Amino acid sequence: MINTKEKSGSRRTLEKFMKNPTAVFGVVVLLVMFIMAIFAGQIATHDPLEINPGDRLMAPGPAHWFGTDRMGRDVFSRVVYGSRISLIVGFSVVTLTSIFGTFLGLVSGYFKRLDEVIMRILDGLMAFPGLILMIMIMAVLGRSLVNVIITLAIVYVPRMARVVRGAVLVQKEQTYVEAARAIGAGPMRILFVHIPRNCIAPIIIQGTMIFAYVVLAESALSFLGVGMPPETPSWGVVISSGKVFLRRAPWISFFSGIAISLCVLALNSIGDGLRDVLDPRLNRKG
Amino acid sequence: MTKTFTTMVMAIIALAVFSLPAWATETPVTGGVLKIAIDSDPPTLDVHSTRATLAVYVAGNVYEGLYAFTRKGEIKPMLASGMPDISADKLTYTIPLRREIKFHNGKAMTSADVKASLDRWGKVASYGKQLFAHIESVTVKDDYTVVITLKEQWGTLMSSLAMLLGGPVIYPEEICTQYPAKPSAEYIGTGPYMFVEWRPNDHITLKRFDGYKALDTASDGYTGRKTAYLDQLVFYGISEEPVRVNGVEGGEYDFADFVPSDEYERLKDEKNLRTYISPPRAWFVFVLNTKFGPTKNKKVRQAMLATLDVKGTMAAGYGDEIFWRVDPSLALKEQVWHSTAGEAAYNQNNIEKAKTLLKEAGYNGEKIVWMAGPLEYNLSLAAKSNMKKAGLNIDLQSMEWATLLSTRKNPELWHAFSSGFTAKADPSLTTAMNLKYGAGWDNPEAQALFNNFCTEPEFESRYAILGKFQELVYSEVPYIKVGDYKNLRLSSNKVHGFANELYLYFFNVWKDK
Amino acid sequence: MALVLLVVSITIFIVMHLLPGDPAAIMLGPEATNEDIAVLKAEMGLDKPVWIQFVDWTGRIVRGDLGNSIFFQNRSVPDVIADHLEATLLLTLFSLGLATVIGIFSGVVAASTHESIYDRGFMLLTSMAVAIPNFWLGLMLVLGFAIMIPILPAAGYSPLSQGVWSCLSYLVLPSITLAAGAVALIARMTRACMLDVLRNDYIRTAKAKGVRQSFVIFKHALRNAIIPVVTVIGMSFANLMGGAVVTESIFNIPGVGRLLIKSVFTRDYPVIEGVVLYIAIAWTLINLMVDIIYTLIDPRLEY
Repeated sequence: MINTKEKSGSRRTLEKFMKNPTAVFGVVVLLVMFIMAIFAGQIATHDPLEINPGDRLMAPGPAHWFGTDRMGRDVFSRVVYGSRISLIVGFSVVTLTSIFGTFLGLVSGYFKRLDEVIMRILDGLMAFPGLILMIMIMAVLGRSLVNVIITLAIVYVPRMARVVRGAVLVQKEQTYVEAARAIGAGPMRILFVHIPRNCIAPIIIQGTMIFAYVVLAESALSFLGVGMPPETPSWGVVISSGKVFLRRAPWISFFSGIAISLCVLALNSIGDGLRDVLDPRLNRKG
Repeated sequence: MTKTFTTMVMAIIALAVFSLPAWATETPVTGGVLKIAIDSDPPTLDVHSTRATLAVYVAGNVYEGLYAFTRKGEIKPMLASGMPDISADKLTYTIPLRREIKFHNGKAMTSADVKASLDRWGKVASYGKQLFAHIESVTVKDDYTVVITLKEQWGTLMSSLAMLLGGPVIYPEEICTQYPAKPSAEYIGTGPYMFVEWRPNDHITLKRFDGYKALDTASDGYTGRKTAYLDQLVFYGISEEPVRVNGVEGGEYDFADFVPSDEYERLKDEKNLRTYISPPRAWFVFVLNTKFGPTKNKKVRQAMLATLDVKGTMAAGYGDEIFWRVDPSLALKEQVWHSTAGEAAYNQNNIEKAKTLLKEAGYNGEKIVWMAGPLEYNLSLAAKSNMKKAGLNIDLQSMEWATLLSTRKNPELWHAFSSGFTAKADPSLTTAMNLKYGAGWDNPEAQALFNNFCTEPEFESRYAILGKFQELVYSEVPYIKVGDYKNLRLSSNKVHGFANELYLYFFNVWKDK
Repeated sequence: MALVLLVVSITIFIVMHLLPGDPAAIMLGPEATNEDIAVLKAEMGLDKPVWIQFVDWTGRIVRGDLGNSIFFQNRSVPDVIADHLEATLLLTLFSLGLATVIGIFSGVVAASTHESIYDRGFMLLTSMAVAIPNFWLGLMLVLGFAIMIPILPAAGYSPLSQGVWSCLSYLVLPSITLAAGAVALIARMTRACMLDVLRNDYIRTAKAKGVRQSFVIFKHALRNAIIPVVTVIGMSFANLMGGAVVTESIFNIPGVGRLLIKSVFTRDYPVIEGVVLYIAIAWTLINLMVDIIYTLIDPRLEY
């Protein structure tokens, strides 16, 4: 009974989503980035890591569409491969925060005593300016793709946990929970089966937002020199490598920044669209 | 005929008039304040207590030692009145002092001050401690004679006495007794400029010392006549490069050190600015672990050496060619110690030879862990590409310095790291001859050569020993020298007389009104 | 509040001592040997076991003694932070001022011209402002207004004591960079709240009574809409006081954010601890102030 209702519900949701032009734009752009990431090998014109001291700092032209950087590497290829890094980091962090954040949120929303403890710790973590916490954790772990993912996951889990907790608090009072208890469902079953089904919307929405934050955060960390290793074709690394050459070779920083902006814009549009569609009653001020 | 004569006279007058301005700028102007932007506040101005070059930039105008170096690195007397009288057994150095020297507080300098300063230096300064291990005593013969007695023959004594960086500059006796161990908070010396005030993170002010007793020999580096043309020198510690550059362009500062070399193209054509390419201060080096891992095998190290293409590496990793130099020597070209010993092994760029060496070594693609800090990373990356072509499996890791230095403590964890070796007055003081550096280089021949280099007092013999040491470095390859690197300095065109040597100093410098 | 500070202090201490490397190594430079570093480390008391250092440190913190900086010539940590405060404070006030004024104004206009082309343009611009990485925006502003059209300085800072105009000229580009994100948030929040309020009955009543359009908007609607906007402004303020780390880095402004980054790289432990505590305290105080402002604006709320 519940299943059929959900199915037509999700189809309706999808149709409603598709009516929103900005959201559709977002999906299209994200799809393009996806394709760029998967087919980077075919789309890029050069090896993004290949050093060519003879060709350093060349302006955009037929050989190098976005010019070259200080080591003679082709900027266009680096920007194309950069999509891979951003998408991999984004997906990984969103997955991790969804799993751990949801778990923490469920547990703390349902069990009052645990709530006190968990929320205090998460509040403490959130009182830190996020970037600073990230810088320090990266300094401890060292620069690598995996460590960036771990660091960002640690910093964004509290956000997901809070959102899920809020949803759980609301759901706890719903009639279906009482009904489930009445037919003998134990707290574990309620907590890990019934309630989550009804929290999917906020998780998805928060997930999209976190994806956007993560793309920005990874680029900021790489820009500051504490994120991805310096030769990696990450958008943040490329912007950083162009920083000292702003006068001589502005193309290095320029194109990679456009890439990040488009990607984040797309993600935000999708997030806004999802929010409109999945929970229009959700306070738009949040 | 009178007409041609008049024209000639007029031409001569015109010539004279038009060259006047040129003459005018070449005559030193006394007066004015020089504002200098350096890249941070020095840790202290007490030269005995620090090896930071920043300290010397400021303190080099304030203090003097018994002897000093010329531009080339020859040793001449400064506070001493002549070269020392050396006993036949080469163990006793009797040094006569000049009698007219006054400290900035008006006190006359005597041998008591010299002895107190040398003793303090021997206790407080790292170079001092090293040297005093070989010194029996420092005694006072009379008010203007100091005697240094060695335990054994020691070749670096004279250059140590002339050294400014972390060197035995002369303080008044009272300062030495008041600050026997901690860095002094008062700065009283004998130099052409004296200390006025230090506002931390803001500025340090020096002013002309009217009681300065200049030598009347020609100026040459830190020797000879030192004239304080300017009324004041003000040093600003500005850690942001663009601020230093913009400051000089805008007129807030008159001089800036460490300007980004990529700005050179733009700045050299500016009419109201003057650019200086500093002499190289150091060279980039890849230090190899001779005790653990694949680099333990000498042939692997020689293979790595063989792949090095200095030009390509420096261009990709450091920048425009004007800012670096290809040179095999462990000392700089500007120094008397420069040598081309072993140069056949330098800058080979021979991938085939490397492959052969690796085969002979039985190298099987084992991972070589290589750590590089932010400054050297691009350089290492560029070198790595050649090494990969030879078949070396390089795991290049970028780390911040703090992490690198911490990991370096465990030689089992790494096989190579990138660094820079700064040139010093005496090669025995450089890291290039420091056998304990990195993982340590346990080579008996190197140790013997180093010991001989230190004890031998005659320059010719020392030079020969240094040559042998350099050859040994190129055959055993405890480290790989890349190239010398230079920096850019900037001043307004009103500044004249700047000597553009390794360390900044501002005596003999003047500024147009 | 005390509990939050405690959690923050302990976390910082733990993370710091997990950081590989130590200030002794940085002080001596890359050419020192491991023995040299070990000697200095012992002199600095850094070779004692971590739990002893923790006890020492808690003892000092409790007495309010934050210690001395290792790299700033032994100046006391509060002095070092104070040195860097002026820049951050001015930058914060300037950006926040810009963001608040432009944000509220454009939000109100967007709300009152709902669904018009202005409103759509507004939504697009604010979306972009939030999507653009602020460090890249900073670089592009420098490219545009300091390099291509050289009317503003590319980087640096001039203290207030050396002239107001000169000081402001250095702050223009960094403030715009920082304000971008905050403007979008404040503007959107204003618009959303205004829209909500404008739909309310009492507004319709006032309109029915014949009160002029703009009067209605500004007096009644804004007053009621302002609370969530104040929250966002408060949050932005707290964020900015934290030192806008990246912006200070690009524009080389000697503020608290740069101080923190520099201290992390040089492992200047006392300063790191001091700055993080300062940020946590500033954050908490600002949140408190925002709550107080609530009660002033809306006497219905009681505290």
